[in-house]
Amino acid sequence: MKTPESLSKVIEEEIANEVLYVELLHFRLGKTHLLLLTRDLQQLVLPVPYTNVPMAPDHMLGMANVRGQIVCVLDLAIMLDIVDLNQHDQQHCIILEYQRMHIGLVVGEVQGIHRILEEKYHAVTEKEGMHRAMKGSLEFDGVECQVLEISRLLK
Amino acid sequence: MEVRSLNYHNRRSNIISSVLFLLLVGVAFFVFTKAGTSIEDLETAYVEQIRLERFRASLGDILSPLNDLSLTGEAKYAKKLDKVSSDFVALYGDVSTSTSLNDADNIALQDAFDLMQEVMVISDEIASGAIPTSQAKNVVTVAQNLVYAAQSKVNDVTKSLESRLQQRTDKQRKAFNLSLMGLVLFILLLLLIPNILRSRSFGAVTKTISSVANKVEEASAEILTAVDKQAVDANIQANSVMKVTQDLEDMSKNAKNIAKTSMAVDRIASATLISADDGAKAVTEAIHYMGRIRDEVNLIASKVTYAGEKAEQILDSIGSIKEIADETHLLALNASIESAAAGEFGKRFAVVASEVRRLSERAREFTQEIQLVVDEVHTSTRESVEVTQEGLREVAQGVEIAQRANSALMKMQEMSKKTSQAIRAITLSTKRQDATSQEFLDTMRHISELLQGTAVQMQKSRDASHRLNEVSKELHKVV
Repeated sequence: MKTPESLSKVIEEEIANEVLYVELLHFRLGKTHLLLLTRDLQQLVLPVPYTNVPMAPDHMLGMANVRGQIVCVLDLAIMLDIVDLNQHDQQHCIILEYQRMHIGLVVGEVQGIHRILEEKYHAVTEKEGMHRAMKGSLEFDGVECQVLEISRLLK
Repeated sequence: MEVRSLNYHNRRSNIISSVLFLLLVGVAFFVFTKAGTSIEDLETAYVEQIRLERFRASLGDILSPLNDLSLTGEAKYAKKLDKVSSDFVALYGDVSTSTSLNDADNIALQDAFDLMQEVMVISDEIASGAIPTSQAKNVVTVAQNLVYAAQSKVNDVTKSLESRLQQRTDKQRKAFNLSLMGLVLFILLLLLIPNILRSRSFGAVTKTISSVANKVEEASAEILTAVDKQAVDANIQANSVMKVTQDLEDMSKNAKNIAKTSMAVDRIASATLISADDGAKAVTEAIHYMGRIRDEVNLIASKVTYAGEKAEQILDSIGSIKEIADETHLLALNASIESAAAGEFGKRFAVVASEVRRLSERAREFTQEIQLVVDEVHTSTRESVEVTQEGLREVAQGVEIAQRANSALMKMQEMSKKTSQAIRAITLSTKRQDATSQEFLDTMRHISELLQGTAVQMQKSRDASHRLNEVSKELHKVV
């Protein structure tokens, strides 16, 4: 555990280096490991109760009230055509804003946040056979994670 | 056919002979009695005839004195005449009572007496002088005629009596001859019947003797066969007795060995009894210590159960800590998201959030590790409780087994005592059996000697049977 002094030192070093990093939220949907840019997200909450919307598409689970904001809750697995799921895979809800609309994505276990160079993120390219919402893939600790782009997903 | 003994035949012959002899004596007695009676009758008849002859002779006696008296007139002749008269009356009295005379004879005799009475009256008158001597000669003549008439009457009576006597004599002789002939015939019959009976009895006896001789021959042959068989059996018996004697000697040796062995077993049983005592004491102590172990294990079980309860409390606390760590981690993630949303202004905060996130992850990891450890402790505690309970059951079983072992050892003690007693009894019995075997052995030796004597007696019996067979053959020939 770092002391406050060492922590301040680390902070100062990072600012002085002016190195650009991006952070990626690592989570699972069944056996599929996914990454999302944290700057695209608003918050991470536990699964919230939602209200079904009549005549809505299959991937739309319903509408929820998260701390006063009305959120449209979507099933990311249905959107990404991931079928090997079970009820334990709905552990978190990622809240984000896209085109002034608050959206909640129901995901599985959140593994953590990876900090990588921004260049490396931009170097990620799409691979053949991937879902159209995927930018590409990165490998962390021997696990291949697919990078999901919100703009592609919700386009 | 019923076989009767010679004694029976002899006795029967003796009885028949005696009966016939008695019958003969009776018949002879009867015959002689009858003959005696006839002779007595004849004797009486002849006595009476003699009396009658004397009476007839006395008729003429009166004439001589009467003549003398008539011639002389002397008194002596008168006395003589009285005497003759009285003798005549006396003779008449005898004759008149005779039973041999019939009515006609009595009448004739009475007439003769009357005539003689006339004579006596004449003689009395002459003697008294009523008739004179001169006339006396004439009167005597009359008297003589009267006497002659009386004699004639008496002669008739005498002839008639003689005739009847002759007839009676003839009749008696015939009867006597007939009785004699009957007696002779009876004697002949008496001589003949025993001979016939004897011949019949003799024939039956001969037949019986022949049959008996046959049977004796058959019996002697059977005895011979039986004696031969008995001799063979006696040989077998003697061999068996020798074998039994040998076996008895072996048995006596074995009995001695058994006595020695049983004494050794007695010592072992005594040692077993001591060991059983020690074992019972040890098992009693083991039961005592197992009870203490059970109490200790019960204490351990309660302690372990208490530890398990505490582990469960820790698990509950760890669950709370885990929730806090998860929320912290979520907060750290949101802090990172917020710092990212702040862009350039959130760099400092991003570092802090990163550290916080790392700390929360470490907290989660530690929580998981602690949970794993506590889970292991809990599992171990539960297993310990189960093992302890199993141990308690084992201890209970051990106590039960020890109690059973104690009971078995107690029984073993009892059995050892009984075994010891039984072995002593066996030893005693074996000694007695040895003594009995010795006596039995002596008895068997004696039996063997007796069997040898029996064999000699068998040989003698065989010889006797041979002799009996020969005797029966000779008897057969004689019969």
